[in-house]
Amino acid sequence: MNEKLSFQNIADTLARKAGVQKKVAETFSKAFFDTIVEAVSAGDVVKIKGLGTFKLVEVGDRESVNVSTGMRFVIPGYKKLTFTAEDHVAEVLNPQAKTSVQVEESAKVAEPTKVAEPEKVEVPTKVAEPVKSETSIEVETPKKEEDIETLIQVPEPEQVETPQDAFAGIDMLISTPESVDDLRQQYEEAKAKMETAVEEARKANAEKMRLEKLLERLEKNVEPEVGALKENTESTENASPVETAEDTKPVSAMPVTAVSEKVSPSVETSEEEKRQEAFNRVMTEPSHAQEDEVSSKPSGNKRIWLTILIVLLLAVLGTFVYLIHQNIEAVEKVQTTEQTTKPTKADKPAQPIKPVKPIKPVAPKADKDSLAKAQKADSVKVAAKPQKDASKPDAQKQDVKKQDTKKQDTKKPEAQKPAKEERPKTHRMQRGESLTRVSQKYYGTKDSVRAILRVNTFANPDNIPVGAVVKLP
Amino acid sequence: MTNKEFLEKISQKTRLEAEEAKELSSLLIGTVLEEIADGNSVTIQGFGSFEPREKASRRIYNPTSKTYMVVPSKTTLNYKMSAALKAQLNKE
Repeated sequence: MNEKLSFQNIADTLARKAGVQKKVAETFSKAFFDTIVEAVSAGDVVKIKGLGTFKLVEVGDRESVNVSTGMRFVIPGYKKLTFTAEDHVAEVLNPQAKTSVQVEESAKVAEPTKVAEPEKVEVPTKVAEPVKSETSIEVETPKKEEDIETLIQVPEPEQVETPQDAFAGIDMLISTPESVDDLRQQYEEAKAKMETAVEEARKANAEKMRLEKLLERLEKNVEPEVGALKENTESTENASPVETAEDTKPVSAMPVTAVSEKVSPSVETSEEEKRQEAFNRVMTEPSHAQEDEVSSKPSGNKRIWLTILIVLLLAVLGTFVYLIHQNIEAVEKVQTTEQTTKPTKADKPAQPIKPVKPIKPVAPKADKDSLAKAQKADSVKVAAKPQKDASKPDAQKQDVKKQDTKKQDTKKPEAQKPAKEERPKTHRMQRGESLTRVSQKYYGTKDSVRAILRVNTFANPDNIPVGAVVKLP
Repeated sequence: MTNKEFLEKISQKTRLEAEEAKELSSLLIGTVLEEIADGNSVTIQGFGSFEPREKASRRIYNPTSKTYMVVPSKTTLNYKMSAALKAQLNKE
C-alpha cells in the first residue's frame, strides 16, 4: 500500500508474468509509453483497450494575482496530456461494488426520520387520555372493577404492542437502510400497522363511551372509593415497569418521555389526543406519571366531573377530528405542492401527522385551559420538526412577501443615489481614506470595494498612497 | 489512434509479433492496474504517474423522485503527466 513504483518495478513484474526476459519486457514497456507520447504529440488521440484514452488538451492563458504583492500576472497556456480511464478500470479498482449504478443506496433516512419523529413527539400528549379515563373509571366503580378493568385492558395492550411493531419497522428504516425497495416495504408495513392501530383506537373510543355511562351510574358511590382508586393506580404503576422496559427503543423513547411528562400535567390536552391512543405505545411511562398527578388531586367529585367532561369532549372530538382530517388531507396536498422548497418533508409525514393538526383548532373550543396547555404541547412538537410549516403556508408566504418588499425598498435607494450624484469617473485618494470609504461615498455601500478593485491595479489595496487616482467603475 | 494501430506501432518498434505485443500489452496494463488497486502509485519516468484517488461518498438529490441517494465512495485512476513530458510537449 502507498508504495511508489517505478518503471523498473513494472517491467520486472511484467517479465515475470509473461515469462519473457527482463530486457524484452523493458523494451516493450518503453515502446508502449513512447508510442503514446509520439502519437499524442502528433495530435492524435490514443485509445488503449483495457486502460483508457490519452488525449492532448490545450490549457489557455489565465490571469492570477500574486498574493503577497497583489500584482496581476498571466499564467501562460500550455498543452497537457490528459487521461480518461475506461469503465473497466473502475470495476477493477472497486471490486466490491461491481455495479456502480445500482450501488446507489437510498438515503431515504432523511424522510423516515421525519416520519418517525413527528409521530413520536406527538404521541406523548395523546397518551394522557386513555390512561386517565381508566383511572377515573376504576375510581368510581370499585365493585365492578374487574369487569371494567378487563374492558379497559383489552384495548390497551393491543394498542401498546402494535405501535411498537410499527415503530420497530421505522427504527429499522432509520438504522439500517439496505436498499430502496426494502425501505419502501418496511415503511409500507409500518404505515399499515399504524392504520390498524388507529382503527383500534376508534374502537376503544366506543368502549369509553360505554364506560362513561357506567361511570354516571356509579357516580354516587364515588366518595368511599377514592382510597380504592389510589390502590388501583398504584397497582397499575407496579404493573407498568414491565411495559416501560419494553419501550427501550433508543432514539425515540428518551426524548419522548421527557416531552410527555411536560405535557401530561394538563388533563385537558389529553382530550385532543384520545383519538390517537393507538400511537401512544411508547408512552406507558408518562401516563403513569399522569396517574400520580390525577390521584393526588383532592376531591373525587371534581375528578368525576372532569372525566365526564373529557369523555364527552373526546367523543365529539373524535368524530369531528375524523371529518376534518379528511378535509385537511385534500387541502394539504395542494399546499405541499405549492411549497416546492420543502416538498419531501411535507409529503412523507403528511399521513401520520394530519390527525394532530385538526385537533389543534378544535381543542380551544373545548376548554380554555386545554388551549393553553395544548399550545405548550404544540410548541414542543414544533421544536422537534418542521412539519408545522406545512400547515402554515400562508404565514410563510407572507414572510416571503415581506422579504420581497424589503428587497425592493433597499434596491430603490441604491439605484436612485448614483443617478442623482452623477459621480465622477475617478477619485483622488486623500489622507486617511480607504477604498471602503470611497465605495461608501460614491456608491452608498461598502460592497462596491470589489468592483473598484476589479477596475484598478494596486500594489497593496490596503495601503494606497495619498494622491493616487482611483478609477470608479 | 485505435488499439490496433497502437499495437502495430509497438510491434514494429520492438520487432515483436503482433500477437506477442497484444499479450504483453494486456499484461502490462494488468500489472499497472493491479498495483493501483493495491493502493500503490506507478511512476513512469518521462511519461507521468498513475495513482489511485479516493472519492468520498456523497449524497445526491433526485428532484424528480424527490429522494436522496447515496453515491458510495470509490477509487479512481488518476494520471498526471510528468514535468519532463510537459516540457517536451510545449517545446515550441
